[in-house]
Amino acid sequence: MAKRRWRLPMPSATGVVFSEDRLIGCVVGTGLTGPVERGRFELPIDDEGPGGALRKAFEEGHIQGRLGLGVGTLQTLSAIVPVLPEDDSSASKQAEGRFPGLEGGLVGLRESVSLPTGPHTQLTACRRLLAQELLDAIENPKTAKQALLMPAPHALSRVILARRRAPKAGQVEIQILPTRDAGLAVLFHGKTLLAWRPFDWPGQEGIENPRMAVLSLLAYGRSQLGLPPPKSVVLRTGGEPDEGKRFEEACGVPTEVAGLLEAGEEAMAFAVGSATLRQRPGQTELFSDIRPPRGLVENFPVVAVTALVLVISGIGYRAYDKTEANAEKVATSKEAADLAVKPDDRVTKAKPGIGSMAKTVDEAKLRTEHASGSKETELAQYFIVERTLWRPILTELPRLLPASMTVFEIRGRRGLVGFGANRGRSTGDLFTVYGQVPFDDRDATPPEMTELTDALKSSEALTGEFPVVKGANVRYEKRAKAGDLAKFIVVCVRGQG
Amino acid sequence: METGISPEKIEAAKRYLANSAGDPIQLRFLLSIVLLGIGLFAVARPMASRLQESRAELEKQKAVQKAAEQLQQMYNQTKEYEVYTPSEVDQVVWGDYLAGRLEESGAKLISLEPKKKILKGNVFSIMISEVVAMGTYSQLVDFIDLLERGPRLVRIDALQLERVTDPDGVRLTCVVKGLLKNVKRIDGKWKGQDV
Repeated sequence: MAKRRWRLPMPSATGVVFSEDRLIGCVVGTGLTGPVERGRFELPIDDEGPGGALRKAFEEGHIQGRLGLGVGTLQTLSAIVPVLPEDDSSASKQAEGRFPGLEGGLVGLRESVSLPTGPHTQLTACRRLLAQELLDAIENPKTAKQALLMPAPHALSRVILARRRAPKAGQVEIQILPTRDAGLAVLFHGKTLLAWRPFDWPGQEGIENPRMAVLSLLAYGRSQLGLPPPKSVVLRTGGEPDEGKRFEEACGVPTEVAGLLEAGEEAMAFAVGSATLRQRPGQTELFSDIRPPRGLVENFPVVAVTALVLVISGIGYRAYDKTEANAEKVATSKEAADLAVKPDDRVTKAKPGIGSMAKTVDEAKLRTEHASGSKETELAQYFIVERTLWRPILTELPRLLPASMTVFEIRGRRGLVGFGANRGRSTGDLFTVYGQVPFDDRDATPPEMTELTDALKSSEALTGEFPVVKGANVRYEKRAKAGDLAKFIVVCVRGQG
Repeated sequence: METGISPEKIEAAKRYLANSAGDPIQLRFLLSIVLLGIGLFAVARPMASRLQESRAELEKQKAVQKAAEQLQQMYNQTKEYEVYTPSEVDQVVWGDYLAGRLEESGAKLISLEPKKKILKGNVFSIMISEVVAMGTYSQLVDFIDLLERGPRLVRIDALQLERVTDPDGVRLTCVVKGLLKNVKRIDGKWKGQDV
C-alpha cells in the first residue's frame, strides 16, 4: 500500500481568468514565503461561453479551495473620477453612469485614491451579464457565496509590487510587462495601479507599440489625473541594459530593465489565485452587487473566534490548574504541620466534622506557643552559646608563658547579653594577663612581652574567644637589693579591641 | 413581555446586529468585544481572584507549617538543656552546689556571697553568686572546669586570679551565674499562656 504523504492543511485557492477562447486556471497554495503555484489547468471556451467552461472546470475537479475569477484587461472598464460628496449611489450605478449604453449594465466597485489634485474615486467594472453568467455557473452555494470576481490587472498589480521595490508614495512609475505576443503597460502612482494599456508586441520586437502605450499612459496621467512626470519606465523583460537605453531615447523618459515578469493569462490566473488566498474580510469585489448579501454564517470568523476561545480557555484552565495545585499544596502543608506538632494538645484542635477524632493545628494556639518557645530558646541561646569556657584558656596559659616571666594576676570578663539591661549592649569582654620580668633597660620593651603576645596570638583556645591580642602599659620598678623589674599587661579583647 | 425598553431602541439594536452580521469587519469587531468581555469578566477576573486567594492561603499555610516545624525544633532543643536547668532552686541549695564543686576540686572556700536574682519574663531565673576561693592554680582551674561541665548550666562572667603571699597560693574571685527554669512543663513542653 502506497504511503500517503501528509501535508499541513494550509489554505489554497484557485484563480481563473478567461481569454477569448480559453479558460486558464491556477491552483495556489500557501508557502513559507507567500503564495506558491500548486498546479495549472486550461479548458477551451465553446458555445456555452465562459460559464460553461467554468462549470466544466468544476465537473473535472480542477477547482480547489476558494475560487477567484479574474476579468481580463480587455473586459475590465476603469475610470478615475473626482469624489462627489453627495453621490451615495452604488458603485455599479456610478460605473453605468460613467460607461452608458452597455447592454445589461455593469457591476462595479470603487476605491479611493489620492492624487496630487485631490482625493478621487477609482471605478472598475465589467459587464453584468458576464458576472451573472459566471456566478450562475457555480452550483455549490457555499462556493458561490465565497467566490470573488475581480479585475485581473488589479490582482496582477499586487504581484508586480511584491516582486520589485514599490515606488514611493507620490512617485509615478510605468512598467512594461511582456506576454506571449503582446504586452501590458501599467501606470502606478505610489502603490496604486491607476491605468493600464495592453498592446500588440509580436516576438517582443520593436519598440514602437510599447512606446505608444507608454506615451498614452503619460498623456492620460498628466492631462486627466494631474500626475507629475514619471520617475522611470521599467521594462520587465529581463533583457540587456541597451534595450533600456534605446527605449529611453525613443520615449524621453528614464528607463531601466528589470527581471522578467510576464502578464499573460497564466500569470494573471496566478495573481487572481494569490489575491483570493489573501482575501481580506469585507473586501469588495464585482459579485457584491449581484449576489445576496453575506449573512452571519458566511461572515462568521470561525478561525479567529476559535483561536480566541482557545486562548481564553487556556488562560482560564491555567488559572484553574494553578488554583488546584495551590489547594493541593495547602493540604500537603497542613498535613506536614499536623505531623510536626502531633499529638500535642496545646497547639491542636479537633478537625472539623461530626465525630472526628483527628487533630489539626490550632493557629492561634500555635502562634502563642511559638512566641513562648522562641523567647525561651533565644534566652537559652544567649546564656549557653554566648559564653566563654575559661578552662581551656587557663589550662593552656602556663605553657605559653616565657620562662623568665612571673604572672601575678589574671583577669577575665565575658558579660551576659540578651537579658534585661544588657540586651544588645557591649559588655567589655576581655582577658588580661599581668606579668613581670627582671629588666634593666628603661628605654626598651621587655622581649618577654612580645614573646607572650605572640604566644597568645598562636593559641587557638584564646583567640577563639579573644582574637585581638596586644601588649600594653609597661612600668618599671626599681628595687634596692635585686635588679630592676619591668611590669606589663597583655590584653586580649573580643572584636576590634 | 414588557422590558421597559422602547420598541424603537429594540428595533435599532436589531438593525445594528443585522448590519454587523452582514459586515465582516463590524462582525469581527463585535465578536472581539464580546469575547474580550467574556474573557475579562467571566474568566480572567474571577479566576485571577480565586488564584490570588489560593496563593494567599498557601502563603499563610506555609507560615503555619514553618512555625509548627520550628516549634518542634525548639522542643528538641529544650530537651537538650532542660536536664541542666532545674526549677525551684533557692539560694541555699545553689550555694551548696557551688561549695560541693569547690570541695571536689580541693580548693578552699573563702567566701560565697549571693547576689541579686535576675528574673526574666517568668521563663528563667539567673542565680548570681560571687565566690572567693584559695588554692593552687590547678585546683582553681579544676573548680572552674567542674562548674563549666557540671550538671547545671553555669557561666562565669568575671574571674580574677591573683598570686598571694603563700608561694603556691592563688586567690580566685569569680562571679558565677546559674540558669534556673521557672516554668513547670508538661511532657517537656511549654505550658502555653503560662510562660
